[in-house]
Order: sequence, then structure tokens, then C-alpha cells
Amino acid sequence: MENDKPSEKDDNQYKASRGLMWIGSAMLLVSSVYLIIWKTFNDTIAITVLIGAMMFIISFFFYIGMERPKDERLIKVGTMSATWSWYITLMFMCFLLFSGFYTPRQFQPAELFGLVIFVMVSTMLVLNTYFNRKGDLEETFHL
Amino acid sequence: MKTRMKELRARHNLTQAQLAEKVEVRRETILFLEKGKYNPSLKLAHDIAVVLEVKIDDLFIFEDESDKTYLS
Repeated sequence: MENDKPSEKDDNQYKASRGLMWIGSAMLLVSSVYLIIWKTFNDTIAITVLIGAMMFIISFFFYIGMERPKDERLIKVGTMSATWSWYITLMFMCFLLFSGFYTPRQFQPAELFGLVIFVMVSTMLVLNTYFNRKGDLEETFHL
Repeated sequence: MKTRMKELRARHNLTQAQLAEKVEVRRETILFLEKGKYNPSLKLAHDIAVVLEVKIDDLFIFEDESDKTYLS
């Protein structure tokens, strides 16, 4: 039977995943800002996005506590952050669709990609950090 | 919600890290619990109560209970 007790190795794994998450996110945010400003891809940006996304994807479930060590508070906070991040990104995409439809401004594909990546990654990190500092969601949402 | 966790933990000579290890959570979770900033799941409350050898009722104190009305 698997031993579920969190060990020092698990704690180090969590710290490593948190580091990986922040580095991956930083790479994604920097490349998304580049895409928003310059509206075009190049090899360096494509590789940065790819590596950043890989780091983000690999560390995501560790970061929100769903992999070892399974901590109920981390899961609670991480799940709420991911949910809000997804919701805000969807609303933002709807806003982009309408603004592209009803205004003469045309978005370039690279710019759109940069905007979506920026909103998705930044909201996830900001919300997770905010909820983590609060300690719980009850105070924030009056559950 | 108030908690007597800190007092009971000290009585058992346990550090936050030791208690966290026993109930299989991170130390930060114990920290927020002791500050009264985190509402634990029933399982975690039970596990902590078992480790500290008290009943859950003696561990967590809910305030303003008199204001609440329950259907009977």
C-alpha cells in the first residue's frame, strides 16, 4: 500500500514545482507581452512559449496541490484560482470577439495569442497568491 | 471560529511541522488553522482531534452560535 504521508522529498518536490511554475509563467508572460507589442512570432519567442508552456503544464497539478503532497487547503485554493482564471479568460475572449466585431480594430493572430496567454497565466498566479495569503476562501467569498 | 489547537499542541510538545506531518498536511495549513483563518474539512478536524486526544467540539469553538436558528 502506498504511504500517503508527506515526506521531506514531497515538500522539496512542491517547492521545485512552485519554482518551475513561476519560471514557466515568467517566460510565458514575457513572450506574451512581446507578442502583444510586436504582433509577430519569431523562433526565439516560439521556443520561449513552448518551454514556458511545458514548465507550466508539468508543474500545474503539483502547484495547486493535487499531486503529492496532497494538501486540502492547497487543493481548495488552487481549484478556486483555476476556476476563476478560466472564467475571466473566457469573459476576456468574449470581450475580444465583440470588440473585434464591432470596432474597426483588427487583431493579429499573434497578438490575440499573446493577450489570451497573458490573461490566463497572470490571473491564475495572482489569484492563487491572493487566496493563499488569505488562508481560506470562506473569508473572501463569505461561504 | 476559534481554536484551541495551539494550546493543545503545546501540551503535547508538538511543533507545527510535527503536527502537520502526523495529519498529512503542509505546515502552512496548521498555521492558518491556528490563526482561525482556515476552516478544515471534517476529516482533517477529526485527524487533529485524534492526535491531540480531544473531541472536535473541544478543539474548535464556533462564535455567534446563539444568533443562528436551526430547523428542528
